[in-house]
Amino acid sequence: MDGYHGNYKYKIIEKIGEGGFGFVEKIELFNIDGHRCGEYARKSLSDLDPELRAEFRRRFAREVSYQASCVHTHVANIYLCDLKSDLPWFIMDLAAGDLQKDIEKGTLTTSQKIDVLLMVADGLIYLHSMGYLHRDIKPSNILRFKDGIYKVSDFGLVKNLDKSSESEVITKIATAMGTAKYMAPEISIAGDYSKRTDIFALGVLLEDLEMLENPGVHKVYMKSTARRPPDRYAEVQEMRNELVAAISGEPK
Amino acid sequence: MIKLLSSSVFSFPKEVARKNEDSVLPPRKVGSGFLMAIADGVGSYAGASSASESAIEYLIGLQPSAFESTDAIEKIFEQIKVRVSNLTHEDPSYYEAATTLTFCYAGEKGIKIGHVGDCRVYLKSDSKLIQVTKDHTQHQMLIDEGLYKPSELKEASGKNTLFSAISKKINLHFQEIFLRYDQVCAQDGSVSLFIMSDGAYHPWELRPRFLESTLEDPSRFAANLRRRIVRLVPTDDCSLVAVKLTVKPQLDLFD
Repeated sequence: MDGYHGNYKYKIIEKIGEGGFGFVEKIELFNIDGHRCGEYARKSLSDLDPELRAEFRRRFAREVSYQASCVHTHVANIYLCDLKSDLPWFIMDLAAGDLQKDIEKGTLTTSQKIDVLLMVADGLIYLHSMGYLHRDIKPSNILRFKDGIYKVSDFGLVKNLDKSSESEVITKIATAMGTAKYMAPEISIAGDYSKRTDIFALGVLLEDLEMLENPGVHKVYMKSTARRPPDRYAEVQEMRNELVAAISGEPK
Repeated sequence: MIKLLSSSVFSFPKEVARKNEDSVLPPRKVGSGFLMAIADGVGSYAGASSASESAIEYLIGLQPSAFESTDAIEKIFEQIKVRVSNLTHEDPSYYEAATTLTFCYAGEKGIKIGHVGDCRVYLKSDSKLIQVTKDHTQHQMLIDEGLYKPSELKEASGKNTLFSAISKKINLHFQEIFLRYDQVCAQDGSVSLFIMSDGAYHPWELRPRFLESTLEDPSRFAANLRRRIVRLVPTDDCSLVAVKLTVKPQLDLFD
C-alpha cells in the first residue's frame, strides 16, 4: 500500500496527468479490511517553492471544500481528502476521458454534442445555485465518465459569490485568471467575474463543438458571447432554454 | 521660482483603535520644487501599511534629479515595486502586500503627477475641483471600455476593486500627467492641488462644493472636509494633502 487515510488505504497505479501546481494519479482504493473499492483518481498539490506554498495550500483547501460541497450528477464529486499532509490531496472518480480529447478525436455526433452541452449547463446551473462561479469552463475541465456522463470539474479557480464576506469596505485587487480563449472581455480588461463570464465560456464551447451551423444555436452563441455583459443571458437556465428551443428541430 | 503659500494635511484611520494603512508625504522641498504624496495600503492583503510606508519612504529619499528624466515617473514606480516585493523577506505573509500611490512634484516648469490606484488628484479651477487622475478601479475600466454604462454599475459591487496597484503580484500600470503652469494657474499665479485617498473623496463627492473662500484656503478646506467625514462616519482610512503654490515672484517686504 502507498498510503492510508482514515478507514481507507490506496495503491498508486500510475501518474495520469500533470499541471502547473499539481498532478493526478490513478489509484486503487481499499477499505481497511482490504476490500477493493475500485479505481479512482487522486489529485495532489506539487511540492512548491516555500514562497508559494502557503498560498497554494490555502487555494487547494478552498478548491476541495467547494468541490466537496457540490453533489450533482454533472459536477465531479470528491470522496476523500487529506489537506494536512506535506502534499495535500483528494480522491475523486476516475474519468474515462475529457471533452477536449473527445473534440480532438472528432467522434461526437450532433446529438451527443447537444447532450454534453446540456449536461455542462446543468452542472453550471447547480454551481451558480450554490453561489459559486466556476471561472475556468473549458473542454479539458469537462470530464467524461462511464455511460457518457459528463461532469464539470477542476475547482481551482472557483469563487464564492457569498456577499457576506464583502460587507466591509475593503479595497481588493482584481486579477484576470483562466484561459484566454474562454475569457469574457471584462475579465481580460478588468478582472471582473460574474455568472455572465461563465455564460460567455459556455458560449465558446458551442463554437468548440462546431454547432454554429444551426441558425438558432448561432443566435444563442451570439447572445452568450456578446461583448457587453448586460447584452448576454443573465442566467444559464435562460441560455439552456433557448438552446433547447433552437435544437428541437434538429435530427437526433 | 515656485513658492508654497499654504498647505494642510490630515490622515486618520477608519476607527481610532485601528491601524492607519494610508501613508502621507506632506509637501516637502526637493530641489527647487515640492513633492507630496498619498499611498493607500490595499486592505485585503497582509502588509498593507508596510507597503504604503515603503512607498513614501522611497519618495522621501529621492534627489531632485530623480524627477528630471523623461522616464522619471516610470523609474520611480519600478523602484517602489521592487521595495514592496522585497517586503516578503521581512515577513513571508506579505507576499500579496500592495499599495496605491499618487504623488505630485511641482517643479520649475509644471506639475508632474505619478498615479497608481484609486487615490485622486484634484485641481481647483474657478469655484470647482477638477479630478485630474483616473481611478484604476474595475468599474472605471469597464465604463471606459464601453462594457457597461455608469448606470448599469451603480448598484454593483466592485467599486473598491482595483485593477492596478504596486505589488509583487501585479503588472505595473500607471498614469503619468504633466501640467504646465500656464495651463493650470489662476490669474493671481496660484495653483491649488488636493490629493485625497478614497476615504476622503467619497464624502467629498457626495456634495462636491465648498465656499470659494474655503477652496482658496487649504487649512479651511482640510478642516471642513474632516468635519464632513467625521459627521458621515469614515468608511475607510482618510487622508488629504492640500497645497496652494504660486509661480509669481513674491513681494519681499524688506527689498
